[in-house]
Amino acid sequence: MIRLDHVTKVYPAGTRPAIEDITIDIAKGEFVFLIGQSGSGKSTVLRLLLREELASSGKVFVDGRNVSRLRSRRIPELRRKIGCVFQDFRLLPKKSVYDNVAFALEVINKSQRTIRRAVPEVLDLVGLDGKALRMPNELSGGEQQRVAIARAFVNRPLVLLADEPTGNLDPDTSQGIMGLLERINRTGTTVLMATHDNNIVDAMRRRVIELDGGHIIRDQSRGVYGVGR
Amino acid sequence: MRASFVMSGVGQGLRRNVLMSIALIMITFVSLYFLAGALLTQKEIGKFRNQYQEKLSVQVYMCGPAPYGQSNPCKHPFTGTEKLKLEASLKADPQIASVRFLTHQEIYNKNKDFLGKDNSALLQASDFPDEFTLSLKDLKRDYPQVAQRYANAPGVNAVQNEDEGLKTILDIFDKSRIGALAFALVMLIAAILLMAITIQVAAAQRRNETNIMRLVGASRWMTQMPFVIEAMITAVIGGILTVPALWFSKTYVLNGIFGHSVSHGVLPDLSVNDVLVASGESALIGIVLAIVTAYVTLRSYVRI
Repeated sequence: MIRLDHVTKVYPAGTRPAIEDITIDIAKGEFVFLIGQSGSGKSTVLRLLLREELASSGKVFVDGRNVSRLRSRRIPELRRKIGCVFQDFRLLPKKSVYDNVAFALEVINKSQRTIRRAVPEVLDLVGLDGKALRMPNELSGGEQQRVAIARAFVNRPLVLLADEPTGNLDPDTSQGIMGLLERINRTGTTVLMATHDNNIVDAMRRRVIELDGGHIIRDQSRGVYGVGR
Repeated sequence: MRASFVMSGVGQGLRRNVLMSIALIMITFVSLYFLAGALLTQKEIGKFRNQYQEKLSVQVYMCGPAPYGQSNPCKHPFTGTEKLKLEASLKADPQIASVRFLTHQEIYNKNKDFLGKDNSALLQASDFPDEFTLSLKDLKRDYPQVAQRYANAPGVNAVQNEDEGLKTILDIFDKSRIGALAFALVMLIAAILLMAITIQVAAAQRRNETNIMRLVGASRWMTQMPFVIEAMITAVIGGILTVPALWFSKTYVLNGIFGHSVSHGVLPDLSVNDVLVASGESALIGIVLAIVTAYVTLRSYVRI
């Protein structure tokens, strides 16, 4: 589902490559943690997959397509296959929970019928049924992240990228969010999650790819956070 | 694409930047107004030319009573023999289509109507010379030869082409048109810059929203559409406002200041249709410029 083939990324102002000669292969339906210190290259990997950045060398594949060679008018098609969740939720403050989620479908021209069916369904999945009309500022951090996950998942993407989704949440709430990501993963969606949260990684025992200074130093199935470094 | 969704985004955008939107509408209105003014003047010049092109004639002014200045070729008032000889030559001239003799009294009566009561009171019939009015088969081609041929004929004071007199009026119109065009150009540049800045501010305010749109796979067109429509709406409102403003100016300037000349048919009048066409043309230019400005600004400012 995801393949990085000897990928290097050097930012124009960078003194050293953000990632260097990285090769990763992630199969459909896998749940993978991407760990490492700040500046290790985790976010760069996610940005390359989203075609927010272009690789300096090497190939990046998502669902069999070389992302680096996509024409700019084809990029939206790629992004419809990928859902994104961020640490800071990135909700639209003046839209209700329902409208925030519906927004993701409206801007890709889904019909009102589809929106009316899909939004309540996904809100139910993330445990927010009954809160559709609430505004983001009326929700807790965990609930806001659930809205963000609902928005990322409402179009049923093949891949869900999560960049520190529990970074702003307390341990209990984080556990709830991880439970939700696991449920989404069980539907067949590939999940790639960048995180610093050792408790979560240790508790989940999923595949762990550890980056350090732009290099992969560990790729371990059923790994934990601190071992092997 | 769902129009209601896009339009609700447009409405929000306009409300969010209401003061800037108003400023943009005003400056667009002023620039389009001057542009339409220049286009309308162009129409007036065209009508003016058309009206006079067929009527343009050559005047052969006869020598009137003394005094004669040094520069005056006349030494005495023209005689009957001189008039008859000249008339015969003119009628026999293959370059001349028609010849008509007008006495100074006839010329005075004709001009009295054009000049109005007050101005004509200052003049007397004796202030005008008798003249032959000629129409040439090809005014532009033959005038220099005809003028040269008869300028020094006995009893002739001067030969004049009406076109020379008209040129002065056309020059005034033309200069006003160029002035209005230059002003419109400066205002349009200001409007374009203000539009670009407004779009940048709006894009910055909605960065969160456009980022989400990008990440969930909205097309570039979908992301940029609200901004382009906002710019278009501004240009359309500015364009609509030019209609009454231009009508007011036309009524005040053309019918107010040149009212007498217009009512006597010296200057052609402009219709509502002319005002609408000129406003429409300038609004169209404004809308195209707004779309291009929005597109170019967004292309360099909003990422995909």
